Amino acid sequence: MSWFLSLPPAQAEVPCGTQTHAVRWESGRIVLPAHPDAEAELVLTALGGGKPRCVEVAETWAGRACDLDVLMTGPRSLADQVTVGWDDAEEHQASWFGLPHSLPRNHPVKGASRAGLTGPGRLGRLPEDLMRRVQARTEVLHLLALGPAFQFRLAGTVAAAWANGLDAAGRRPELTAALTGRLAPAIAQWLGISPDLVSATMLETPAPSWGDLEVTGDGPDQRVRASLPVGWLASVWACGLAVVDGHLVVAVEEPGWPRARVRALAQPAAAPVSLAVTGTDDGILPRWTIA
Amino acid sequence: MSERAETYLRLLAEAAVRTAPQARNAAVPADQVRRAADILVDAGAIDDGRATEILLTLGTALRVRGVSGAYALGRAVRLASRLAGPRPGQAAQPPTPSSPAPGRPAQAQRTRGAAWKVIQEAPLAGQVTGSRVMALIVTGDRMIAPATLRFPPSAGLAELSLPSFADLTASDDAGTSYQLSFTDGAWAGSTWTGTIMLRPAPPAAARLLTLVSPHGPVLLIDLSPASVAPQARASLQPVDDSPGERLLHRRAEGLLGSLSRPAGERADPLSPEHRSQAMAQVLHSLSTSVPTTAPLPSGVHSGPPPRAVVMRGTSDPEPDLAELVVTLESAGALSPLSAVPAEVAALGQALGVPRFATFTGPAVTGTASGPAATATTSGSTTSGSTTSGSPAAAGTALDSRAAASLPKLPARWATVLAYYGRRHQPSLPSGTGSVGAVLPEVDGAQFVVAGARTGAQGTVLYVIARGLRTMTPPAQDTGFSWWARDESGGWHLGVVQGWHLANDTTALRLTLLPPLRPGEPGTASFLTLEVTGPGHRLTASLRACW
Repeated sequence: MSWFLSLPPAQAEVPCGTQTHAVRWESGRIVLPAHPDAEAELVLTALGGGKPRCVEVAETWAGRACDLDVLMTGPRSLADQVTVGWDDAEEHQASWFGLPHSLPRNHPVKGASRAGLTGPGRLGRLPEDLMRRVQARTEVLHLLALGPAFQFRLAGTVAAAWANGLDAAGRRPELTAALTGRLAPAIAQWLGISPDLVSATMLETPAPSWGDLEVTGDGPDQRVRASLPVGWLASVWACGLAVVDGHLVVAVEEPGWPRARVRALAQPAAAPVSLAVTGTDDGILPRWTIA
Repeated sequence: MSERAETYLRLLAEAAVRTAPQARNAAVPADQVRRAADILVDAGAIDDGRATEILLTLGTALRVRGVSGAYALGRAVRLASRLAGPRPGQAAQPPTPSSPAPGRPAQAQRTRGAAWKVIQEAPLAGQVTGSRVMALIVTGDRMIAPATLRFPPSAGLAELSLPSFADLTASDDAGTSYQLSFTDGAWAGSTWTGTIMLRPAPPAAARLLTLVSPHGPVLLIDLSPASVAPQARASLQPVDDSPGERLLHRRAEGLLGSLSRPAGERADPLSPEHRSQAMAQVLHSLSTSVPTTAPLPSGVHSGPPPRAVVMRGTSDPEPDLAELVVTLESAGALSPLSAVPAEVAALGQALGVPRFATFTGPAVTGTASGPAATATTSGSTTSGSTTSGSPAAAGTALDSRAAASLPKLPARWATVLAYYGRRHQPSLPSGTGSVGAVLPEVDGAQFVVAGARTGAQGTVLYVIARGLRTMTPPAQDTGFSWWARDESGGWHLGVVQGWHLANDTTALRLTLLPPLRPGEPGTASFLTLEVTGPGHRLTASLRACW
């Protein structure tokens, strides 16, 4: 069941050469209307031509589809605004890990003249491994520069990758933090408590149930512990379904746009109920209501 | 446990990302993460490289939210250095049976270069009176020789305030001349004790090395293979202490180590009389009699309210006991039921160090989830220490009733306290003891105990080390604890007084508290040395020739 079926398409504008081109996200894929034959463009690049920015974006998207740094850097909720311009990404590329230019860089490195990564007298002498890390982080910033709608869709892509097939258990700390960071604001909105009082763990074992949610204490002293699968980040959170009309959505039964069916909790102690929901495109993420 | 620590750190980072953009001082949440990372790396609960990556990613996450700041500048430099590869003379070392448990990368970058050759001191005809080498450690490219040099009276050094080391030359009987350098040492009249570095390493044919001053020979060193030291008899046992307990023990040892420094250089604000009184209150519970004359000290109390202890993190360069305990417990590196925090708090009170006199604290503000929220004070107030429940909590002096309720200090700590709690310490004769013992590898580090020197300033143990973690001044924590037991059963704590790094080798100077009484010249005495690392304790029997 594809996680992205409950998301409408999204579009961003990308400076490409001397023009500005549209880059679209549709059904989990990057579409380049201005470059209908991207493969041919790659061949031209290999023959010495310049690679269009749009094509770079599509390649980078595919390359970062499993990068957990996306979840660490990207937004946790609609209120969490991540602002990255194309200039920011370029500056980060030149400054190494986002640290000041004054940092000494005098370690020998192979491939220092890699195109687009080093300028004269800048990152010329860093170890290869470090260069790869810098490059990866810079690429994430390039993707975040596509704007909030793409930021959520990228996060969903990464979460879905770890929910389906990758060794999530080996990256439990990162995924636990990612889950907590996004569930906490959702539960805070749902129950009217501080997000600091929410903790989450990764539900790992295949289980027939959606997970677990335990609430202790009353009123402002309530604490919430939840156990959810990593897939919740993709199929629920990244699709804007976390909280719908006072219900905490814990699973998607039938994804779809603009109509879907979900399992949701009306109250912490209640059993999840099946709800039909309808979405309207709000530009970044859909706004869902109970049908 | 390393996974739990990493999870805790990442959850702190999540809280920082959530709170920093709206915080009055955006640096506080991120600084909290950095401080927690430092503590957990120090405890060996998380790898330094992984902690650095978390901090750097946090920095990026905050920057894209409009919060700027270099949160891990020093760490990033160290990470780059590590990724640049081994330094000359170093090679990547695979995990050894004595290394910390695998699963996550080891705490420090343990390296092993060329094998060492250690030459013990040998009696030499014509040796300069008063000069001796404790041991000679030959590495791949140099020799390291802790030694005592007695300069001839004609050098006129008694009147000089600076050593004339520039005039010294060294050569061997094979015709090799050596480049000399000297670490910080100590003068007693015309006698200097410290560590000499000679480059290059000697050729195989060399048998005798001579240091010469313009006024005559200063030191002879036997280079013959017959003097090569065997590995010392030692046992290696895993330690039961958790990483958090090990770290707290080392912090406590650091507190005790301050007793060896002049009063003006110590962290505690008490006068000697008041400190003596404070110690008496603590030792009273041990039925140890310490004469006192001063009134109850006003500076001895349990410190500021716990919340303030935790929240003022950004203004304090080093974490206090409360911050250490909260962080270690939350990360699973310290059990809430451990007695060690209370012991360290009792020591802090005895020494009049408010920052280490209490350890109760609330959950660290801004942390989201279970570990930080629950592992706070659950165990901290149940150990019977003088914390929140004591009369001292309100800022009053520590009275004998409260002192009687303090937990018992480990006997070794009490020994050190009792010695420095006396109004008068016995004077000791001077003496240099050569040891030349090669210790088995412990937790990725290797040590050679060269010897010891007792003088007017106390006893210094000279140790050459390899495989230690990076130490950044003014830090003096090698990650290991050092205790020596003399023939009469007395314990002596070793604290790092200074260190000198040469490629992959560190020359350590450890002050022994209390000082060690030297043997009569020409005699030998035995020491039992305990070196405790993150995962193992090495116990070695050493023979010192005085």
